[in-house]
Amino acid sequence: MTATFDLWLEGELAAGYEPFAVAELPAGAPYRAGRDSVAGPVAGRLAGRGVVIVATVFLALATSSVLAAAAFSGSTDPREWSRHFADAIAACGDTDEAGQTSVGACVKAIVHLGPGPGHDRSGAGPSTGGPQPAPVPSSQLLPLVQPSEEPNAKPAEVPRGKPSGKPSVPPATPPGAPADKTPPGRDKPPSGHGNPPADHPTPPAGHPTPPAGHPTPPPGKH
Amino acid sequence: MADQDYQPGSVADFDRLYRSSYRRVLYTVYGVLGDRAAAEDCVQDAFVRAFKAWSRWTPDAPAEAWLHRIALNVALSYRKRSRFQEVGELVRRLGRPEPEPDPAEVAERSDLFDALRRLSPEQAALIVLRHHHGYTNREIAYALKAPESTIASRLAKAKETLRKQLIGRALAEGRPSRPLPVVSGGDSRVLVIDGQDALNAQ
Repeated sequence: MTATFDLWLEGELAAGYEPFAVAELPAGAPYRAGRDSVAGPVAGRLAGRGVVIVATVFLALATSSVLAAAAFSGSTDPREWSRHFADAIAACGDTDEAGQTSVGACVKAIVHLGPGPGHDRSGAGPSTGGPQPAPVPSSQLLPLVQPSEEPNAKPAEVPRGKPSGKPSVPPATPPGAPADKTPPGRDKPPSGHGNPPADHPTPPAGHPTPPAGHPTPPPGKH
Repeated sequence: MADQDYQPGSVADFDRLYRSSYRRVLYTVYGVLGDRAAAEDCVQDAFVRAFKAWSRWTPDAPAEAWLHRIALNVALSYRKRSRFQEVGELVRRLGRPEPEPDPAEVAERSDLFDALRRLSPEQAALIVLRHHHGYTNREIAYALKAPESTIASRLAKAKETLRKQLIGRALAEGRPSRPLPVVSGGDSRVLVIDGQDALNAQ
């Protein structure tokens, strides 16, 4: 009984597999591609992780740079940042020519002190109603502008020449200093330490900025 | 090629193993699944897995039986997944007429393979491994991860189940496509069952 059924079974199986016999063996070695495709995702995952790390670091650096520049210049306009830095570096170059300090120390001082007069002198600052007074700390870095009689007149060129070596104005005004020491014509005080308080009385626009007799010497180390 | 000639981890040896055993593994998996396309997919997947594990293969195990074990595991997983899909399809199809089966598939599949598909994967594999590939009990035991001493009894049970499946199907439809051996009352004879004669034979 079993032998008969087995014979019948074997014959049926052979007949059932006949259609497979004419089929070709899959070309090549697909399992190798499978192995490659297994290694691929691993490498891809590692590469993807690296890209994410690099992108995160880049974004963090970019964000911190933007925040620092915005805090430093008091503006969110990148053109304002570049103008501000260009002015500051130009001023530092001037002081470097005088041999009194290095550009690096000067820029470092600018960074520590915050926005300087270059920002306000550009005319793109928060107040353009008249000559902008230089924040007191920055007066150490850049020469004070010449006062103009016209309210909307553009600020004068930064005087060139060797500084005298002695500051003609007080080097810095601490927060909460008396009002009469703050230059007039300022609508909005810039941020940063050494700036006058926000509730400081603002003189009328067009009031001439106190003249500076001598170029402002470079800042010292803080 | 004898199993001793294969070197674990050797790509060239695995290529030879692939060429020599692909069809047999495919036949076994087709016997389990009853679907050629699915069987081909499962066998490819099995060879990918086997290739990854090739360095861990030990020559004391029959290489082709080792491949069968991997392929049957893949086929088993496939069958489980497809059962879930069938249930979902059944729920979606509630109240609608059942779609017509693929004519090419119907033409290709014989009653025997239909019946094999209704067996458990292990029983279907047992029958194909023994009655088509001619595997020994040891090889079957390794392929099915079962004790060698139980193979004979498992095989007998599998064949009995298959025979019942075939007879039941023949009686239900009344027209088996091929002659079917029918055994009754301890008397061994081969009957050609066609329609009413099949009923009379019982």
